[in-house]
Amino acid sequence: MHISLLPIDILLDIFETIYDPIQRKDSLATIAALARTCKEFKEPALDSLWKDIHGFKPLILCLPEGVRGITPQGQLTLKRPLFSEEWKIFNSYASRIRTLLIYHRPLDEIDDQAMKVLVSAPSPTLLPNLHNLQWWNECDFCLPLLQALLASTIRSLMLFRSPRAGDPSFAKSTLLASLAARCPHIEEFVCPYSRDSDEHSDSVSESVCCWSKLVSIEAGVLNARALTHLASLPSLKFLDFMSCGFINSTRFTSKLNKVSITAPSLPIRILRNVHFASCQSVVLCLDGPDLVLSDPLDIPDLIVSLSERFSLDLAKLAVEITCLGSFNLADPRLVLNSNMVIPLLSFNCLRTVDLSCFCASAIDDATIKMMAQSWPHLEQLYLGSRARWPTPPSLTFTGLIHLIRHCHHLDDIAIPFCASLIDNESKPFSKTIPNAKITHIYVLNCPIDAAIVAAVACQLHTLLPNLTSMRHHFPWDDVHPPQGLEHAVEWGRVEEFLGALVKCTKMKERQVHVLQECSSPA
Amino acid sequence: MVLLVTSDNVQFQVDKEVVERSVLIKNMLEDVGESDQSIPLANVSSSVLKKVIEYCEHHRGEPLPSADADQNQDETRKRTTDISEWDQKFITVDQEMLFEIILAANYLDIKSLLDVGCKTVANMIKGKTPEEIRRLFNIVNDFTPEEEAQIKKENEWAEDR
Repeated sequence: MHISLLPIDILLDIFETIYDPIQRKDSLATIAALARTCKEFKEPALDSLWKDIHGFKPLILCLPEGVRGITPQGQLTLKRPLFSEEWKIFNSYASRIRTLLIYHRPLDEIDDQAMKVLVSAPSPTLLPNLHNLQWWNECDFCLPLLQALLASTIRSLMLFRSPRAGDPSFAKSTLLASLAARCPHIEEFVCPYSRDSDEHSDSVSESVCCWSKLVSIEAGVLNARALTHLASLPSLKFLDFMSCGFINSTRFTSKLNKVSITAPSLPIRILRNVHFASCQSVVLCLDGPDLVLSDPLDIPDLIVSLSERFSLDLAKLAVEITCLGSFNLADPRLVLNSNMVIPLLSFNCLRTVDLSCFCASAIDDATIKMMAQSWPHLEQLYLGSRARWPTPPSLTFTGLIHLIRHCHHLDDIAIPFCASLIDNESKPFSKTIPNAKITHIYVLNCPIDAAIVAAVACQLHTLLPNLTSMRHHFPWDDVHPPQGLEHAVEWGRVEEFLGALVKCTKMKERQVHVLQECSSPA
Repeated sequence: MVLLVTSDNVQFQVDKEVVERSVLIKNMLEDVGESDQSIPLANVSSSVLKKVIEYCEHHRGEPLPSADADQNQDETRKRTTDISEWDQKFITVDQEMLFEIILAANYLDIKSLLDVGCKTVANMIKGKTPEEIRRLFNIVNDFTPEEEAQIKKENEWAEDR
């Protein structure tokens, strides 16, 4: 059998397999070569080549040389309007495009004359088979081109990535309000832009209310009507929105997997009124230029609301404060204490708990033991690890042992603790099965006495045999803690000891392995 | 056991669990219910079915890709051109057999085998020029020089490395 006898859909499968987004240029060159190999390959190769396009450059460069040119500024231009034969060439490629990505730069590659020609295309939509449009350009001047791309074929639409990059404008609001009419079948929508103004927010909300097949939405501020609509959508799996005020009582009957709420204050009022029936992951984010903490701060209320508004299936709980650095860290309203955690203990399916933005110095060994026993599936636990709180931690090494003992799936923990020594024969220590998954721990705010550095390293090694790294900040934190951290030298020495201990253990294991091989009969 | 009959009239008795890696056969068995009737496979020859059964036997018990798998997951799976060691050995066959296996996997609806076949051909093609691809698969260039030049011109952006 010969390759040319394979059906076209299999050839297309093969050619699409060649496309590699990481080595995009090289893979596209191969697919372009396939299009010139033989007539049988031409159509599937061109379909594959044009399926996923970045910028408008290819659509200009496919036109005859006499029509296009380059401006002194290096931009591609069209010297005159296109004639019908040229539009035919254009359309023969445009109709193959399923995904179009427009970053800011690709639009700089063509001049305004080329843009005007594209906007005046004779066909009703510029790309008639477009499914996925990502438009990260903020410029109002380019909006007519965006308008020419919006079509009923689009299922995934991502607009205006940087929410604070541009000023709210009437043109944008008009376009946002017309999205549903232009693209009625949207399943995935990303447009964090609406947080800039009420006008934009209402425009986006207007469109959202008309979409009935949404699976995933990441928007800025949504009004009550839009939220009520989303709450009833059976297809909705992911919801990310921003709240600026009170929300009417809403029960989410949709089978939401994940919800993320951003608010300029602790979003308790939202949680009091919104019930997420089956949501598995919740991220609450405090963000905004005028972030305020209520007085008294509502951490207890927040936690009670969380425990009442989410089902017991909840697997991820995170509360983030984006500008924690601007707070007075001595503020008692940021303190998380043992009583506050109690309402969360009924969430027995939790895998990730991130309360790293609150001061957890008051959390002691007994509380950690309760948490560990209540959350046996825990994989990641972050408590009070995002800042240098002025109060030293109450937690000791014993608390850490409880965690390792009860949560066998743990692979990442960040909780300030006092590095104290405990009796090796004591019950929690001697009965604990070591955790081999944890390779690093966070030691910001962890006091340690220089005299017990080696002993601490040994006890840590017994509990966490693959632990080699002591970290002082999260890799994803923008602002790293200042230099000259307290106890940095001591923890540095612990790290050295641990490195040596891990090496020793591995050498021993190799020795045992070799001895076993030698002693086994040939 | 299920009795399969190939296009060249050879019969194969195969374990139900093995043969059900083919969505086509699985659906057929579900439609027919408990029956001793043989299943004719008019598009698959005995030499190809032998290879297909070898593949299904080896992957017996592995989870099948779900019908409602995410489109993105599907694309990611397709785009990873890594092939496991066993699959690589299995698919080291002459070109004719390779394309027959691909065709059979497509007909029998065995997604993972189709993937292995497509990835193998994709890996053979990667980085080659049109002339090298023609030589590799013994393809005759049926374009006129003008036609080939036009395709090159209109798609030059893709070859601009």
